[in-house]
Amino acid sequence: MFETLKEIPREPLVYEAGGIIFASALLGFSHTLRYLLRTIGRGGLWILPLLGAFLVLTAVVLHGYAYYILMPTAAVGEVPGMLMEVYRYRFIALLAMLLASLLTLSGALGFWLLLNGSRTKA
Amino acid sequence: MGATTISNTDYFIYVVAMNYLTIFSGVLFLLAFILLGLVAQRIQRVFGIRTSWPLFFIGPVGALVYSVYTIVHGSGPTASGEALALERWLAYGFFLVGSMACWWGVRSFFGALRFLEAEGLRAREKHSGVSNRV
Repeated sequence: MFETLKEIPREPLVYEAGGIIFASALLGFSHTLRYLLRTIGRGGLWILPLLGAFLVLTAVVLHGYAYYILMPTAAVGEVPGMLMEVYRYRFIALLAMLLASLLTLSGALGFWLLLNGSRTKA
Repeated sequence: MGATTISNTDYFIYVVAMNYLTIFSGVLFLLAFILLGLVAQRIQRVFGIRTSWPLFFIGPVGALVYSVYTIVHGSGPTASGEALALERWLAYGFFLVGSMACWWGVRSFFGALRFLEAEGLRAREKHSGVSNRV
């Protein structure tokens, strides 16, 4: 069992750990945004970074699946088209990451506009 | 390994386009954190409370470094063997450290907001106590 564990590449693990921490930072982002929105008497926008956090987690899971489950098979070359499968999974993971960044930015930008709009009105 | 077994179109979609999408999402995350960082900076300036706002600017740079690495790496191997492994470790390491900075920044900012709310409540209670006595 320990021999199998030793064979697991460590670099992608660092990426997975970074992704999980980044997703929890986005959860905190969403929580802070919710708090700030409540302060100015608005709501709803905090859901966008929350969705972003879940998408980043999805990307991490897909990336891990591509690296740890599909990649070893693709490297051996026994199953034809497996390399394409790895690329496809990574592509979907990055699309999830892109969508997460768009949602997070939309939430932050919406709050920024609300904040500056309410300040200008006041 | 990748370019030889997949077609040119697939290589463009799954490798080249994917690398540019990565850097684009890194920039978008950076912008989102900068906006929240600007709010944290304002709150620190107005209330004189520590919000760790520079972390919102520094943190997402780690994700950008990783994105740049995927572009450099995607365009072809830049080195061989140990140097390539070091490159990979650095890119993933930057991503991990950047994520930690983002997490710590958000945590610190939220803590500052909670502290401000508690202080506000305390001040309100104090004032209402004074006005009741008067």
